[in-house]
Amino acid sequence: MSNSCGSKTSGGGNSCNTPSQKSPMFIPSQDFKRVPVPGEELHACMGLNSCAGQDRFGMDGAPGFAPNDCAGQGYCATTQMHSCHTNNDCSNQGGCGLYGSESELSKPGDNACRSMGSCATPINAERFITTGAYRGTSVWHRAREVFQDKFESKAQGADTDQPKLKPQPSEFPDGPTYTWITTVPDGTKDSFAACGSSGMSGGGSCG
Amino acid sequence: MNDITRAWQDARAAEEQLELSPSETFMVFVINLTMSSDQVKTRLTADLQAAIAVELATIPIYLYTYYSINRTRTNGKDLKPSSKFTNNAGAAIMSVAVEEMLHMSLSSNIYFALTGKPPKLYMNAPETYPTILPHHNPVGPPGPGGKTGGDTPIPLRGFSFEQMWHFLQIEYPMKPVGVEIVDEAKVYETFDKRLSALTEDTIDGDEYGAFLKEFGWPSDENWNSIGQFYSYIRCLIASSHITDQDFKAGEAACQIQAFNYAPNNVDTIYPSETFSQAKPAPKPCDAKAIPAEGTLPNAAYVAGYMNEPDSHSGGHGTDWEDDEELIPVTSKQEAFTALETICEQGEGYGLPEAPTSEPTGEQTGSQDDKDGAWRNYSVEDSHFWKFLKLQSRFSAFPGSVEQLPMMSGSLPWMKDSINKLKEDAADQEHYSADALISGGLVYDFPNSPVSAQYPQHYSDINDFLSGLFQYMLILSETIYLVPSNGEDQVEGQIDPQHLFFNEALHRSMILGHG
Repeated sequence: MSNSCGSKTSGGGNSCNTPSQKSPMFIPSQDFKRVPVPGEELHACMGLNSCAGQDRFGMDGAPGFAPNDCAGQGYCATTQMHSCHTNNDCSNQGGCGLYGSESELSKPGDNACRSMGSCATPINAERFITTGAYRGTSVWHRAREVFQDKFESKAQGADTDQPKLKPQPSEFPDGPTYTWITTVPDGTKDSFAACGSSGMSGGGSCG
Repeated sequence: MNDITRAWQDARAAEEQLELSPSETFMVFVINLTMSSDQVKTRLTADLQAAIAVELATIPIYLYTYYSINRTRTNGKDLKPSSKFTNNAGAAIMSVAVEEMLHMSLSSNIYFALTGKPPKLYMNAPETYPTILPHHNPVGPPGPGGKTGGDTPIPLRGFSFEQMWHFLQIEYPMKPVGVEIVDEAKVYETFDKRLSALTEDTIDGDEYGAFLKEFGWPSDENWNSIGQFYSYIRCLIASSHITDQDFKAGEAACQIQAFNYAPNNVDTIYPSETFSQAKPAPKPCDAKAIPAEGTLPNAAYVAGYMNEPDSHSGGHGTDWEDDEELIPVTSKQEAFTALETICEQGEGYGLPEAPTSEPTGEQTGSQDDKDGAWRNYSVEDSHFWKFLKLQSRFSAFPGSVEQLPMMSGSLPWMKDSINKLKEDAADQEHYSADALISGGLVYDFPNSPVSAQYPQHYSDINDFLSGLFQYMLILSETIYLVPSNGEDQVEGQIDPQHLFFNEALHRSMILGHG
């Protein structure tokens, strides 16, 4: 995760416009396909991007919504989607909440490396933490809190003025809903599942 | 001071230090007096390995029944009493399976501390089911068809009244049948008189056997319950032959660490009421917020948690940082703490004074200092009580023999709790296994299937999963060769044992599940 934003993806910048105003600029068709950009930041969910344009939709923003102009305004995970604990490919790519130890579940989206992540990405808004100090509370809000703390900590140590972290898209005050994740083009349509069989993950079941 | 007096005084000292029961104190006395240090260590090593095998044998039994329940039929706003019951049953059974894995890990840590070697897991689970658990001759009430536990192997079977009876046989409370010690002082006074009449010339094996039989110990070491088996292991450790130095053979860093265990996951929770699946989970500061009138709550609000962080002897349920159920063992006291956790969570020392009710969604816990969020702590039910509550919801329960102990008076310490359970169950719907199957809430699983019974394409999958199971047992032994560096909580650091656990074991579990 970088705060310098020196290497912009999709031509993005850090001007940090007012977030999440409905935008007529970009309404992709249902067959919209995301093209991963080499070197892009990989993160676990909405609002966890440290640079402009770093989400599944690049600078254009999600279909029907405002562009992603700044850190914290991203719409969706850039990491490869997965449905379970330990299936993340690299650092900061694990979701959280359903399986894992207390330490894992306390820092969603902030795992140290491959296999050390906890649960599915992206993190649907309905998902809550099942063990540890944050039991019974939102995974996404905890992920945003952890991300914000790290972002601000790094900004304090930087030599140059750094942009402030902006709020997540205003249409999603609690993170991306399951309905949105599974209907937005090239979100995680048709293949998203938050694991578990109790019917309480908010993201379907896997057995 | 003669040997008899010294053995008795040592036993009483252990009783005070380790909170032994009177019957355990008598057993420690006999062990102190009749066994050598080498004999005790040999016996302890063998019994720990047997205990690990028992825990391992129970896990497939519980998981098979768990997967017979179709929890995906739960729909938040349309939660029917029947689907609420089966979802609750799934959470209860999985919560017990999770704790059996904890118990296997704790026993394995004691074994490793004592021997410096990993426990033997590979090819050490039952080859087929039904199976009789080692050293287990349960003395609970007869089950369906007049079966008695000691004669009845435990099958792999779908969720049903009869399978709950088998579960209860596994988890039968450890308090010895027929023994009701109401006045410990009088018991000890009587024993002291008998003891003073003995000399090393007059005491013999029969005399010891008589002592022990009076306090519920079987003469053939075919234990009345798994709880009693663990109680005997506690006595071996509490004896004067075992010291802290005996638990230094295997270093703590190589034992299974606390970060590899979590008491709850998404499968040990259940909805206590209807809820909206579309509502977002609450922020910590909103966790206590009561839903607006006429609206359904979010899932987190109605979530019941089958396991609690205060269900083990090392924690108190008020500070998550101190709540570590899975502890490395380096001393006699830590070995005892590990065994206490096994006994408290498992068979239990008895039943609750009054059965706990299902969570209502009302937050009744205390406010956590860490983030101001409200926690709904409560001491969790023992495995026996969890299963008895499930069994009480089957239509066969009111006429079953499982409730007879309280009527016969043979287990008076159960009476009030089971009476209360009966009263509660009377107001609830009851189900038969057939009705749950026809309603799509339970799959019609075969009883104790073996590979040869499957069609070819399923048989191949079964063989693969059997191989994967053995592979995971090898990996479980291998954990003891991957020491922790203690860096799990350090920013940016990776603990090698934690990485090994996630990479090897958890990914294997996902492979098997998928």
